[in-house]
Amino acid sequence: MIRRIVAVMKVELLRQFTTPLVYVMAFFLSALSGYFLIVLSQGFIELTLKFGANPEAANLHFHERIIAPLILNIEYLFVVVIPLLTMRTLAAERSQGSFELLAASLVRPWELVCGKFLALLAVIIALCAVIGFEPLILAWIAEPGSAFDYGALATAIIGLCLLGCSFAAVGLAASALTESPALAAGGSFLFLLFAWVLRLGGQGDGFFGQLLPALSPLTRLENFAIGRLSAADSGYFVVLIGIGLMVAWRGVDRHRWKG
Amino acid sequence: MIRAEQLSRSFAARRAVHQLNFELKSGSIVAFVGPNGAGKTTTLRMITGALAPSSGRVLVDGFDTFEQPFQARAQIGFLPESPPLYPELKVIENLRFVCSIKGLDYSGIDAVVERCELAEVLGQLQGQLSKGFRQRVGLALALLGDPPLLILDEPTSGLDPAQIEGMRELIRTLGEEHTVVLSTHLLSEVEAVCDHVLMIDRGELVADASADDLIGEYGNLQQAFLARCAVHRQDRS
Repeated sequence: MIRRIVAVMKVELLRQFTTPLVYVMAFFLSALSGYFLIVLSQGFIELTLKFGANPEAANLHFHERIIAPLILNIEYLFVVVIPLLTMRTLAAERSQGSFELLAASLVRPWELVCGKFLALLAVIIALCAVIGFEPLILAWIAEPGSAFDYGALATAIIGLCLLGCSFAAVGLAASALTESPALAAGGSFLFLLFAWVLRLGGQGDGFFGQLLPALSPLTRLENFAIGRLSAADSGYFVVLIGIGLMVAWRGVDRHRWKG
Repeated sequence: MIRAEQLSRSFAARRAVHQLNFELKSGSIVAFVGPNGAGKTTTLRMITGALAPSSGRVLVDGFDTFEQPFQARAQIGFLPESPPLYPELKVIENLRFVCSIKGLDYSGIDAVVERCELAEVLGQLQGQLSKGFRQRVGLALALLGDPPLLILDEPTSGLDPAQIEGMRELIRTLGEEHTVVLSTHLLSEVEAVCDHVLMIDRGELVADASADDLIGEYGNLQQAFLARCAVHRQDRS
């Protein structure tokens, strides 16, 4: 069982890394996160100069002023990037015919889904590591004694990984339901766009103003972004990942029935 | 080796295969013959367990391919009509992958590489292979683990005459050690390599006999096929 899952994971990683898409995305994410970091740092420096005499007045907390907004900007990039990463995982297996090999093999549908998800997990961790590396450069060039909260950065990156994994599970589910990678990307992008709209619903008042954003994965990153680990938010991501993988599993199994 | 009982499959309102009953013994080369769209691929996919029947069942070596799919699949090597290759992977990587999912070590790779004459393309990306090599790699994947039953869907489709002859020779050799079930619409292929023939028309079985018997009765397989189909269609109408 473990050997089959690892074999599926390895092949998926080979497929991901033999196409230019992952490299383009890593470049795109690191370039944009670097740009955000520079812009946010410049804003922070200006505020420091303005309120330097009384930092408390401006709430000049390095992490909350630079790292948290950076992570919250990256989540919007994930809405675009992750569907591109996941679109080929299962859909292309069908369109190129390799799914027949798996359908007639000893690989169980859930083993296939687990293997694919673990490969996506590895790619997402690699992308998050690239994003997490850039703030560390700030820590290294800062004056000795400057307050850089490594724990808060680690928490924010863990949150970003969880968000990426939940998006990947949604993308995997979309990819399991169609044999068109473009349709899979479009389907998961629409779902994530809907999550974005749910978050915007929080700008109103009242019951729905509180409920709708709580349903959005994008809102769930906010606590992680400011360095606060939340069991409720972690649980939300785990449940979303579970639902995504379950739908993907049913989608793969459906192939036997639908043909 | 294979027993089909009242095997049927529909896709929405379209009936692809209807109440097939047949039994195939070990150690023979069997051909599924019929025109395009007759239900050959659907039947083969049900035998491999890749497709669930709408009704009826298939037993492979006593295992129900739907109720006990993994026990049944362990007996089968399958070459689909379009070889199941990852274009982004090298030939050797795909062979290792299939070894892993079949629970085999890599020691059997050398033998199938030699048998299918793949040594020169082992390091090549599969997306860059010719149709002939793609077919041979697909066959090598099916042969890994030396399964007793080989199911080959249109194994010579798209090959040039020399490649077709090479593939037929390979199938004949494989038939000495394995039960081989192949689908084709080329009757010359059946005459060249097969012992037993299952003729299928519009999803229904119209003949289940040895190739020699059919040739003896009708003169050649083409006449046999046309005559059996005509009788069958007359009976239905």
